[in-house]
Amino acid sequence: MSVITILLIILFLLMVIVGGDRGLRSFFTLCFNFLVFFIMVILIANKFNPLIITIIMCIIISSITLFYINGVNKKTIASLISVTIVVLFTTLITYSMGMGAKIQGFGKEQYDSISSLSVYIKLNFTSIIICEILIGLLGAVIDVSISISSSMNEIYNNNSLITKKSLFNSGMNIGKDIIGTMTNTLLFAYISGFMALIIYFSSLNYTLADIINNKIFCSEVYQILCSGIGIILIIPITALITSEILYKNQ
Amino acid sequence: MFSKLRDKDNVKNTALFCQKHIFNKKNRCFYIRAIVLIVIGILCYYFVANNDNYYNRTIAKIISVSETEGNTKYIKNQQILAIIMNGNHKGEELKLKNTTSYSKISDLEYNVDDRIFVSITEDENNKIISSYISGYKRDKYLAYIAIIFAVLILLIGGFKGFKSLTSVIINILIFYSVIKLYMNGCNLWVITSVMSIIFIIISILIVSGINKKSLCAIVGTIISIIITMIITAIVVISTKSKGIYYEEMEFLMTSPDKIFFIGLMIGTIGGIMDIAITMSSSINELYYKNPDIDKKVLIKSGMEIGKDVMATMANTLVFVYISGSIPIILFWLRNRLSLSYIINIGINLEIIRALVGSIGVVISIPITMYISVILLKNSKIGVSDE
Repeated sequence: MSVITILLIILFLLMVIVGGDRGLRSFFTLCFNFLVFFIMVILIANKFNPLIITIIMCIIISSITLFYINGVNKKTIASLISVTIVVLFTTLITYSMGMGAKIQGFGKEQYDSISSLSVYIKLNFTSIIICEILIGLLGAVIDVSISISSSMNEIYNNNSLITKKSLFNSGMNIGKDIIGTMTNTLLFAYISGFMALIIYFSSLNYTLADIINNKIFCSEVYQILCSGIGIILIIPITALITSEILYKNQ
Repeated sequence: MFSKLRDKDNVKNTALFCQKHIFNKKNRCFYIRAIVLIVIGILCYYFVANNDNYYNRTIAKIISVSETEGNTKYIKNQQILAIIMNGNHKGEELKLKNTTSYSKISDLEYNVDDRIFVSITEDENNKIISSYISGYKRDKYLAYIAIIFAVLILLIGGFKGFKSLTSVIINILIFYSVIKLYMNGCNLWVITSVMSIIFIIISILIVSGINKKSLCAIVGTIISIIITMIITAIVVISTKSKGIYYEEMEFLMTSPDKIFFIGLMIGTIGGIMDIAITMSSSINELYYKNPDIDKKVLIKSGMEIGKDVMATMANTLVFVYISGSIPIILFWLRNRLSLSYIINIGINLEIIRALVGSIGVVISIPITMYISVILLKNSKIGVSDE
């Protein structure tokens, strides 16, 4: 058996032991999302518009993750709306910036791995970089959003006299608590992926000026910062939408 | 007339509302902060956008571009006229050529006002005899996105946002020193282990302060990482690394496996730390709200919280890792490589990273919970309170 198969079995067992029924559902969610991811990539490879496909797939992935694990209720609906808004908003920010920075495609350090194949593949990589950034930040945004909306829901249920404004403020406070750990999670995860590249840069004695103008470095930093922007934006948006939805039928 | 009166009333009310809410002390602080931050941001951006003189390499600004079609309709040739912005030849004009394809995989399309690095050759009279484009200047855009991030985190996050930003910067500095030490010949395993512990302690202390719950989170994170790495090592050794292909790390001059495993450890830290803080602070909260709480109840509530965060956290890691491989997957798919090759060989490292990260996340839930319960209730698990 290969390493991946054994790790997959270990993960499955651990999730079931620790999480029971919900653990089983968590494991299936991961599998579903992986499948949706590949459907997305195949559709883009078949020349569907990358931006539209990515946004639709982001909404599908968020719905699977939110509704399958936590059920359809006010807090998950609030989260889904917030995630969709943030995805659209981040698309706007990354689109304008990513265009200017020209970070699409591959850097010259990666040419070896693509040299044997055709680079004229009739697929526009400019919008694919945005797809990459959106998919990278999606998981984190869903995570932060459901944490905020479910805590706000708890507060609302335990104290029905609370005003809309102070509920919103509680949501903001919970969100601010999450920022610190979440930015670190993303930072570490991205660093682990491009650690080899940084070592390569330093062994070739790249200067600081070379590094900050390098395509791969830039696109990596873009991913980290755009994810950061996504998780900051999701805080006020989720706080606002959850408080609106919770007070809607009063 | 009635409506007019109401309008008047409305205006008055709005004015009062403005006085009360928009210009009250808290909001005024917010607006002042916003204006100051945005001004600082604009100044930084202005500096980076005009820093040509700080570069040793020749920088040129494109003033006009004319395009002709190449041999197929997916390739274009660009004739570029650019003006040199720094160095001895400042102000001179250059004619440059560039080829760009529709996919833009390994080439770039230049527009007017873009800044590029050019390599020039001079004759003995310091006259330029030939020149070519050697790179694109991206620092301005990097500054742009960094400023947006910093302004947003400080504006929305306030003091807590400032703390998060500090912790991110400190972690980047620590990471930088790891690479520097490694380059000077230190043992990579030793420095990363030491640095990881420093990473964990500093990040957790900055985020949640010096108190008992931070201690629980730190101990929980370190133990969980050790166990996760032991599990990974056992799996890799027992299968003799079957199924791990270091295709994407081929450019490394040293052995890729060592760097891969160290990257694996660093990547896992973030997720585990996040879970550990969530678990220890919620158990702390439950305990201090009701210090007489039964251990069993505490453990049960802890597990419920753990189940809540498990799936979304694992999801976060999976998407972060897998998103980076979208371009290469598309590139392979268009070159008709099979999906099984792509999953098994092309992106196997990303899948392993995601799986190990998720295993770490799941393991850290019970571990941090038991550690918090032991440290808070000051007793052993399994011994009843009576």
